[in-house]
Amino acid sequence: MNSLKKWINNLYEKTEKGKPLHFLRSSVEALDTFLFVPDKVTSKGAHIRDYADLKRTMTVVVIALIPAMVFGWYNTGYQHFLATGENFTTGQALWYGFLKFLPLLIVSYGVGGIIEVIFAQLRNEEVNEGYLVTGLLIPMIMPVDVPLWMLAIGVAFAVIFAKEVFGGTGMNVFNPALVARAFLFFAYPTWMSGSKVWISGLTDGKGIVDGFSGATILGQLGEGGHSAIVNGLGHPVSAMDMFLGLIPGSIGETSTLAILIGAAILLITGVGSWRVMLSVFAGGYLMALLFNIIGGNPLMEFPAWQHLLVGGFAFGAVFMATDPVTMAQTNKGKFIYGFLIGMFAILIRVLNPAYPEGMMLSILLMNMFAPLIDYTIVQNHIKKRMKRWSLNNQNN
Amino acid sequence: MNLIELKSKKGLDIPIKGEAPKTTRDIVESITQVAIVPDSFPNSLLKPVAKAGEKVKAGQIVLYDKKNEQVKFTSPVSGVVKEIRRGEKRRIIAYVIEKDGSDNHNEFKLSATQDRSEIISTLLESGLWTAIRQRPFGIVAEPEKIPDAIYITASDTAPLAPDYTYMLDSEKEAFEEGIKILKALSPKVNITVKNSDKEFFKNFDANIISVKGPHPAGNLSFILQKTNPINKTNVVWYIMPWHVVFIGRIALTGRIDFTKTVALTGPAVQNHGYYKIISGAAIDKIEPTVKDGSLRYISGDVLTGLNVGPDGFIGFYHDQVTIIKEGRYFEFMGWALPGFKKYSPSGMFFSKLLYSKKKKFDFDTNLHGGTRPFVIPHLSERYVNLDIYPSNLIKAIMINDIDQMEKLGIYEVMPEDFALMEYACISKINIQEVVNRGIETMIKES
Repeated sequence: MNSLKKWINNLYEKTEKGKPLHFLRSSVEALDTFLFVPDKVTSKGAHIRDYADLKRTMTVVVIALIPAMVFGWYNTGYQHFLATGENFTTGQALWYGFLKFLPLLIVSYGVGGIIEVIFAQLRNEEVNEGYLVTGLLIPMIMPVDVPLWMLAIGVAFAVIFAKEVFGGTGMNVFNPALVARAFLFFAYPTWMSGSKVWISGLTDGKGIVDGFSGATILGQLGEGGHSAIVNGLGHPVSAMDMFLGLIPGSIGETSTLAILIGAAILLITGVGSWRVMLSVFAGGYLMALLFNIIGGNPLMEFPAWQHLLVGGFAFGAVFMATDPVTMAQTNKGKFIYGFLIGMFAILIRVLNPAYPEGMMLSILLMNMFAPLIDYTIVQNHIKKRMKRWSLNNQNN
Repeated sequence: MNLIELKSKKGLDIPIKGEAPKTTRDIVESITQVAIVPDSFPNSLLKPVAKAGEKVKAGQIVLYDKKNEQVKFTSPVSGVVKEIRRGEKRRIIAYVIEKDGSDNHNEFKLSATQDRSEIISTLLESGLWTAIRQRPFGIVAEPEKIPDAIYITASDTAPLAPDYTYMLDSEKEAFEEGIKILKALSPKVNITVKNSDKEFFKNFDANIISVKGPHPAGNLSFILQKTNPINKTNVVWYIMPWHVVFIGRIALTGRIDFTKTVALTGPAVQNHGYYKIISGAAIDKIEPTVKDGSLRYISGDVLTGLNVGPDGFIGFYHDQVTIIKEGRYFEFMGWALPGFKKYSPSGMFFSKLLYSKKKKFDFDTNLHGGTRPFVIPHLSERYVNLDIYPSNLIKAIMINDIDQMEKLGIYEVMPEDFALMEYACISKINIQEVVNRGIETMIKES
């Protein structure tokens, strides 16, 4: 341990101001605090501080994402082998998915990480942990066959224009991971939607079972036919399949079960906001229920509770809407913010089937309105304070 | 006499080891030096009247506040000005007086039947006016103002807080007398007490406001918000229980007597307990101190106290001394470990599952992380029990927006109300310092 510490101290010396390696200073600091919790003590204010820091908090979110990620690997393999008609074991499916996911993850962390380091160095700050979660979220909300160069562009766009230009971690208005996806969605629509992109190997079409369809459930509903929802081979899909996640979709978003395990981790640790999660589901459910009552087409008639199982709804509710930087900050505001996200997600999904990913657009929309929601609530609070004062003054 | 019962839900009682057992050791005779510590009086600028080497009587004026020249500080003992200890920019950090053992003292005439202005001028001359502070801002009270009420703050819910019913049990007469004097200053005198202490304080002629719930339930800001909201135009005065006793003693004996009891608490203390001392005594009189920097000596509690060092003195407003270990150590991958032994209220460590709520922990001064942008306030805001929006107010202070600070409740808060939020802040921001900066700005503006 001492030799490790010495090595780092050595690195510090080499990256001092004025030395040629100074441009790596912020990275050395980051490496140091990654390996060792610093020996800094409190200098002002409370003499004791909690063990929880931003690193720990971000680690908790990453851990909460692991079930959805691992299930995503499995489902990637599962869908692929279903399309090629090969026999496979669970291990093979997992391994296949892992190998598909790994390059995406490396590109995401690599490109985003380098940009973070550059900006940290420019600002003379230590590289912080903000990108740890974003870098994992981005590949999880991509179609599995997204080209790596495209992912790299999406990541670069999101980190620079959604985050760093606003001032970095904690200052951004929009969720960077969703901006990356939205950017690619509008820049390269053929790669981000349709019935081919969700299953690995389907776009180049080699070795695929005849007549196999890779359409998502929302895609099928959007086409308007009243036929039953089927998987690629034409077998019906049960609600249990949707809950478990054995359906086509972005890598990490399909399994509601795995996402709920993540939600439990976020809620037990207190990192995720239960107010937001609960109200997103409530808003979505009530909106879908309203459409159920009106009826008219398969999307409107799709059972409300099943709406919450498909597409990016659950993933968005648990991991995206709860982004602590871009959500509403006031407690009352969180309820409004979450409820409207749920409502708009279903509204967009149902009334505009060209954008089956209503969740992404809905969260970005509400990211924009979150400050307004907070403003209204804080103004109300200010009025209440004024009233309390004037009452008090009358009494005295 | 009225009784108001308040309940606070938000908050946290930090399970820190080292409560003081109820035994008192009288060490008044062994105290040779006392000091006035200017840092105890925020937003003041203390200037010496008596220079180093000068002989002073007990009750003689030795310092005054340049920002408010009526406010004077007197020597608690008869002796010689030993040393004016200065820090950066020649700021006084301790004004030390050595006792000479003689009984030279100034006489004061104080009784509840005197005029209000007469009482005020006696309190000013005796140096005891400094015991009366005012809200907003927690500065020494401005004598020309008429307060809505006077609050005697005996509801300390901070970690390892001393037990006032135990400390005051032998001082009831002076306490009662002190209340009489305060009543001449304002007819409305309230004592804020912990719910469990109600019975003891019912014996005195004042309104009782009891609080129930975790810290910061006992903080005056919370109590004021419920009973007497503060804004720009009104003030309340507040005073600590021992200072009521001091005032009572002047009325009873005609001379100042700053003898009081303090609790010695904290995980790094050898001889826990209560100590009878003279206000302003050195910490090393109640516990042998080490000077190698391994321990932190705090006048006050671990959340809001002053780091006074091994040769420091106990502050005027502190009835407690806390000693904890300094946390100058590196921890390999500490942020990633399961944390079976690390207490955290957050739920991010496994200790939460393992220990009962009664288990007490050791604490040290390590920051446990690096300073980061201010994110995820909902993890720490939940420990603020006031009806305010803490992070909005803090951000308003950070950008120095006076109008917003006013609207968001700067008049109703003190740094101490944010101490738990600061403790739990994952971005390791010194929130109390920010709030204090906001208060300083407001004082300058008004």
